[in-house]
Amino acid sequence: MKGGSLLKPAILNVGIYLFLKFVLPLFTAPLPASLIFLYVALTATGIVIFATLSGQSTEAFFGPITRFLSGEGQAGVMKMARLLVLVLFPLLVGWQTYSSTAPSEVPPAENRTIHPAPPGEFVGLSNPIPNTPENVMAGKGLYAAFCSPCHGGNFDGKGPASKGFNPPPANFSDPTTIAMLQESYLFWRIKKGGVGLSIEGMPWKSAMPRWEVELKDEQIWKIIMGEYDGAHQKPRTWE
Amino acid sequence: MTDQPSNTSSVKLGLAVAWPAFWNGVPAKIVFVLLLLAAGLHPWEGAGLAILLLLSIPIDIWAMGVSARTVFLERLRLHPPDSIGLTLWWQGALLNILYLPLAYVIEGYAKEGAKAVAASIMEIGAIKGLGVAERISIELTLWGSAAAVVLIVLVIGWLFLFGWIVRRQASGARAEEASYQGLVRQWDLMRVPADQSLLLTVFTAAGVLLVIMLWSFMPVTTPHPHEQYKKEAVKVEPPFKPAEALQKTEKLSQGKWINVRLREQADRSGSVGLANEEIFMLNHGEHPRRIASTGRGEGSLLAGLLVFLALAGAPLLGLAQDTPGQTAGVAYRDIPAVGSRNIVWVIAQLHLLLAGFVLGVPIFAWICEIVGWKTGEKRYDKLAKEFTKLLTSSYATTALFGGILLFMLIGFYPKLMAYLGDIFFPSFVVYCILFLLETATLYLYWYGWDAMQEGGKKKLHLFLGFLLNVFAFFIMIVPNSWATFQASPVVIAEGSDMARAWAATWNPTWWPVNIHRLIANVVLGGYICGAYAGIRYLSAKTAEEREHYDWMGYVGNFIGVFGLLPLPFAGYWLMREIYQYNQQMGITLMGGFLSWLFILQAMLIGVLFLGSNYYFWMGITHRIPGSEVKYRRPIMAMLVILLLCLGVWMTPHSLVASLEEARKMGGTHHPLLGVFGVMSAKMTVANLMILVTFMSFIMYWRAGKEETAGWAKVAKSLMGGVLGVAAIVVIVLGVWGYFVPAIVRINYFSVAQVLIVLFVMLTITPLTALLLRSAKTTTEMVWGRMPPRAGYTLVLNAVMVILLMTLMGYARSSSRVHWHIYGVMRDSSQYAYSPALGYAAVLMSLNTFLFCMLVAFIFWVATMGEKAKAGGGERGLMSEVALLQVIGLGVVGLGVTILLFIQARFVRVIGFVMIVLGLFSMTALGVPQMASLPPAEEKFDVANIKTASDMAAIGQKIFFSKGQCALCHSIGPSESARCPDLKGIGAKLTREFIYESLTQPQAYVYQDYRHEGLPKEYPARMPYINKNPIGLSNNEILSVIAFLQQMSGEPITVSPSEVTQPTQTAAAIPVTHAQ
Repeated sequence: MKGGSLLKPAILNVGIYLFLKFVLPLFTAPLPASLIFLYVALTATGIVIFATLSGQSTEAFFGPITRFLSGEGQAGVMKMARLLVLVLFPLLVGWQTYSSTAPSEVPPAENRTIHPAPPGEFVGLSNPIPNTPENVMAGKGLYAAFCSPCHGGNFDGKGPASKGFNPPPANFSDPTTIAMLQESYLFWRIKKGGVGLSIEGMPWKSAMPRWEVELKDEQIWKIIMGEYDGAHQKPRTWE
Repeated sequence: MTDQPSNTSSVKLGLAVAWPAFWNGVPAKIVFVLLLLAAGLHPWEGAGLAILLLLSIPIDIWAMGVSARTVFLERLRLHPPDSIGLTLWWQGALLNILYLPLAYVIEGYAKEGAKAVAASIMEIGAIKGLGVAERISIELTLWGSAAAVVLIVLVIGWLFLFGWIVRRQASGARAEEASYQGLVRQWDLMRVPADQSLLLTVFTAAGVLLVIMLWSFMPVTTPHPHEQYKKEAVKVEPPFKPAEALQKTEKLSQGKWINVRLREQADRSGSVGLANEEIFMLNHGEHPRRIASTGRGEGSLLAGLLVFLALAGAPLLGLAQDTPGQTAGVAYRDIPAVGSRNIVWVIAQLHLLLAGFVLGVPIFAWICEIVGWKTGEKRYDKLAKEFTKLLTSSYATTALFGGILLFMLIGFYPKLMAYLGDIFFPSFVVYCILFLLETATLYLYWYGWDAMQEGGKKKLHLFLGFLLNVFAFFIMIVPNSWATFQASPVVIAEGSDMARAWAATWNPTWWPVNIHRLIANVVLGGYICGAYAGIRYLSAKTAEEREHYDWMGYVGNFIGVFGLLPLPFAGYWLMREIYQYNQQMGITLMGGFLSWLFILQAMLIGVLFLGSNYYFWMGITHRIPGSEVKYRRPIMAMLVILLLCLGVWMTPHSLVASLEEARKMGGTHHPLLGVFGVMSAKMTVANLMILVTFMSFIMYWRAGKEETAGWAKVAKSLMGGVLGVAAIVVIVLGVWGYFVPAIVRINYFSVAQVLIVLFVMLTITPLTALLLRSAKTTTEMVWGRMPPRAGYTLVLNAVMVILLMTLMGYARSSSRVHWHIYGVMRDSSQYAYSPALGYAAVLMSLNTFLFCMLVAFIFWVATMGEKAKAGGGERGLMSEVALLQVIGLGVVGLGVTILLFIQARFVRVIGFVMIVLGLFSMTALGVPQMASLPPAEEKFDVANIKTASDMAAIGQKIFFSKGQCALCHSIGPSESARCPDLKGIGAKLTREFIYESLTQPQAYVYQDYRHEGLPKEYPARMPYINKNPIGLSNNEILSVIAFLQQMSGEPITVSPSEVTQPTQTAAAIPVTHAQ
C-alpha cells in the first residue's frame, strides 16, 4: 500500500505533461508554456479533489506525504530522501524566484489585443455594393492584386510574402477569424491598416498597409465580398 | 521518540531549537520586508535595515518561544518554563555578540592561511605543468575545502553553545507527565490566546490598519504603456452665473422668471427644449409642487411624502446653487492620494454585494417557509427564520452603504448626477417609496414570525413574505434602469418627466440585467448562507449543532447550484443584447481590452462548479455510510468531464506566448487549440458542465435509496438515453457552429443547446421524483459527519461568487470605456481611463475581503442574541505590477502563516480566504495588463480654423462624438435604421434646411420608406441639437453642416469667417430665415 495511491496520480500528472510537451507537437504546433501549465494545474486539481472525497482516500493520499515529511519512523534511504527534499525545496524556490526576476534576453510574453474595438465611425456600416457575381469576381480580382501576396491565393494567410511577418497575416479560411466579425470591422481594418488600430490594440503589431491611400471605399467593399466568398465564410450579421 | 536532555547532544538540541525558530520568523519578516518595499524603503540598508531589525526582535522572541516549547514538549517531555522565548532570545543575542565577531576573525585567518598554503602547494612542479583551468580548480578546491571545514566547525560550535543555553533551561524544567495526545493539546492551547474575541478584535484592527497602509502606498494611476500619449487638460466648464443667464434669456427679475418658467412647465405638453441642466438646478427647489401635481389622486399621504423627499433631496442635488461662482459648474471633485474613483468603486461594490445578498435571501427564505408549511417539517421553518435573521441584520448596513454611495456620487460627480437626476427624478421618488414599503414589510415579516405561526395567520405571514419579494424585485430593477441607461442610453427628446424617465428606463439592456441580477442574487445569497453554515459547522461543539449546520450548508449549496445552472444563459442573453446595441462595446468586452477578463471569469466559474460538485460528492461519501465504493466510478467520470470542459473554457483564443513560442505556432492562435477560444466551444462546454452538475445533484438525490417501482428499469434507461442524446446533440451543435454563419449559431444553435439542457432538467427531475416516491431507503443519510474541508469548500464557493460579482461589476463599468453615459456624456476627469486587470483585481480582492469581514461581523451580531454571547506609477523601486504582486504574495503569505500557527477556527477561515484572494490577484497580475485610455478630446479652437475644410474636419469629429449624431444616424446604409441615412445629405439639402433640421427638428419630419408597407415615422425622435443635453454651439453646428456638405462631395458653403470669435459677445445668427 505504501506510496501506492500516490504513484498513480504522480504518473498521470507527469504523463499529461509529457504528452502536452512532447507527443502533441508531433501532430501540431508546440503549445506555449502558459497553456501547458494550465492543463497540468487542472489535472493536479482534479487529482486532489478525487483523492480527498472520503476520509479513507484522503488518508491514503496525504498519509504517505505527511509521514515522509515528518520523518516518522524513517531510516536509511527514506531519511536521506527526506533531508534532500527539505534542503532542495527551499533552493528550488530560491532558484525560481531568482530566474523570474533576473534580467534575461528572452522577450516577454505576447499580450496583444487581436480585435480591438473599432472607432465609432466604422460601427454598423453595411456593404453598399450589391452582392452580384460580377462584383464578387471584381473583388476577387482586386484581392489577387492587392491582398494575395500576403494573405495567400487560397485565403489561408500563406501568401509568398507571409513568411516575413511575425505575427503572420490572418488566415481567412479559419472559422475563428473573419467569420466572427461584421463587414464594417473588415472595412475599418483594410481602410486604416495597422497604423489605424485604436489605443487598446497596443502594441500595434500589424504590417497591414493603410489601403485608403490606394483604394477607393467601393473597391474595399468589393474586396471584402470577394474575401468572404473565396474563404467560404459568411460575415457576422444581426438579421 | 522521547529524548532525555542528558543524553541528547548539545549540538542536536541547539539545531532543534534554532533551525525551526529561524523559519518560523521568516514569513512574518517577509511581510514586513514587503511592506517596507511598498513604502519605498530598502529593507537591507540604512533606515530600512534598522526598522527591520527592530521589528525582528518581537518576531524572533515569538519564533524562539514556539520552537522551544515544541522541542520541550515533544522531544524532551518537559514543561517549558514561562517566557522561555524571551530568555532564549536574550541569551542567544548575548552569545551572538560574543561569538560572531570571534567566528568572523577565525574564519578570516583560516581562509588567508589556507590560501597561502594552497599557493605554496601550487608551486610544486607536477602541478605547474597542468592547464590554467585545472590549476585554478585545484587551488580553489584546496583552500575552499579547508575554509569550509573551519566554517562548519564554527557553526557546530555555535550550535553547541546555543544548545548549552537550551540545556540550562531544560535542567530547571519539570517533567511533563501527560500522554502524547495531552502534550499535543497543551501545545495547541499554548498557541491559542485565551481570549479569542480579543484576538478577533486585534486581528480586525490589524486588517483595517493593513488596508489603510495599502491605500496610502498603492499608486492611484496605471503606468501608461505608451508615454507618447498626452492627456488633454481637463476643460472646466465656465461657472454658471444665474444673473448673466437671466439677462441673456429674458429681461425679467429672477423671481418673476422662475414663476414664468413654472407656468411654462405647467402648460407644456412635452418640450424639454428649455429644461436644461442650469434651469434644472434653479428649479429643483420647486420640485415639490411639480411632482406633487404629477402625483394627483394618489392621496395626500403620498403627496406629503413626495414633498418631504423632494425637500430632503434639494440640498443634496443643489449643492451648487448656494454658492454660485465658486462650486457651481464643478464637474468633478477628487480626494488626493486615494482617488475619488477608488472610493466610489469600493463603496458601490460593497453596497451592491450587500444589496444582492439582501434581495436574494428573501426569495429562498420564503420558499423554505412554504416548504416547511406544506410538509409540516419544522426544521424548514426554523431555517427560513434563521435566513431572515441574517437579513434583518444586513438590511441596515446595506441602506447605510447606499446612503454613503449617494453622498459620494453627488460630491464627486455633480455634473453626471445632475444629468441623471434630471432624467430619472420620478424613479428616484418611486425608489424611495419602495424602500419604505420594503422596510415595513421586512419588519412585519421578521417580528411577526412567531406570532403568526398558526392557521390563517401563517397564510398572512406567507403573503407578507411574497410582498417582501415583490418590493425587493422592484427595488432592484429601478436602480438597474439608472445603471443600464449609462451603458445603453436611448434618445430622450421630449415628453413629460414621467414619459422621459420611462423612456430612459426601458433601455435595451434593462431587462437582461434585471434577470441576470435576480438569478445572481439568489446564487450569492445561497452560497453565503452556505458559507455561514460552513463556519458554524467548523466551530460547532455539539453533535446537534453539527447536524443542523451540516444540513443548512447542504441547503445553501443546493440553492447556489440551483441558481447557478440558468445563470450562464441569462449572461449570454445580456451579452447578445450588448453586441446588438453597440458592436463597439461588444468587441471591447469580448475581443478587446476586456477579453482577458473572461478567462479569469472562466477560472472563477470553473472553481465554483468544481467546488459545488466536490461538496455534493463529499456529501455522498460521508453522509451515506458505505457508499464510497459504489460511487467512485461515476464521480471520476463526472470529474474528468468537468475538467475537460474547464480546460476548453479556460483556453484563450489568443494565447499568452513568448515571441519564440508564437513563431513556432505561427501567430498567437494555436492551429489546433485555437478553436477552443471562440464562443461556439465555450457555449458547448458551459452547457456540458451544467449537465454534469445537474447529474451530480440527481446522483446525490438518489444515493442510499433503492427503487421499488416495476418501471424503474425502463425509467432509468430512459433517463440515461435522454442524457446521452442531449450531450451528443449539444456537442454536435457546438462543432457544427464553426461551419455556419455567426447569426445562425447565435440565434439557433446556442439557443437550441440551452433548450436541450433545460429539457433534460425538466424531464429527469420529475421522473426522479416519481421514482423516489416509491423507493425504499437502504442507507439513512447521516448528518454532521462531513470533514472540516467541506466547511472550507462552502467558504471557497462563497468567495468565488463574491469575486465573480466584483469582476463582472468591473466589466460592466469598464465596457463604457471613457463615457459616463455611453456616447452621450463623456468622462473628462483624470479617471477617464480604465485600469488594467491586475490593478482592478487587487481592488476586487480588497472589496471581497471587506465584504467578507462585513458579513462576518453582521453574522456575529446575529448570533450574539442566541448565545447570550487589501501613485503616480513613478515609484522608483518597483513597477506597479511588481508592487501589486508583492502585496498579493504578502497576503498569501499571511494567510499561510495563519493556517500554520493559529488554531482558532474563525481566524483560520479568514486566513483561507486571504490565500484564495491573494492567489486570484496573482493570477490576474499574470495575464496581459492593458489599460483602456480615452482618445484625446476634440477642442473647438477658433484660432486653428483657416479654411472651410478645417471646419469640416472639426465637424466630422463632432458628428461622431459630442454631437452624438452617429448614435442614430449612419452615413451609408446601416443595419440599425433608427433615423434617416445621411449619405449625400449635403447635396440633397440646402444649408438653411440642415440648420433648421438641427435646431427645429420637428419642423419637417421625413418618413421611413425603406421598409415594407406604408411610410411611417422613424422610431427615434430627433432632439434639439443646440439645446441640452447635446447643446452644440453655433460654431459647432456650422462645422457639422460643413462636414455634411464635404462628405456629400458638395462645395462647402460655410466660410470660416462666420465662426464667432470668443471675444465677440453678440451671437451672430448666420441663417436668417431659420426661425
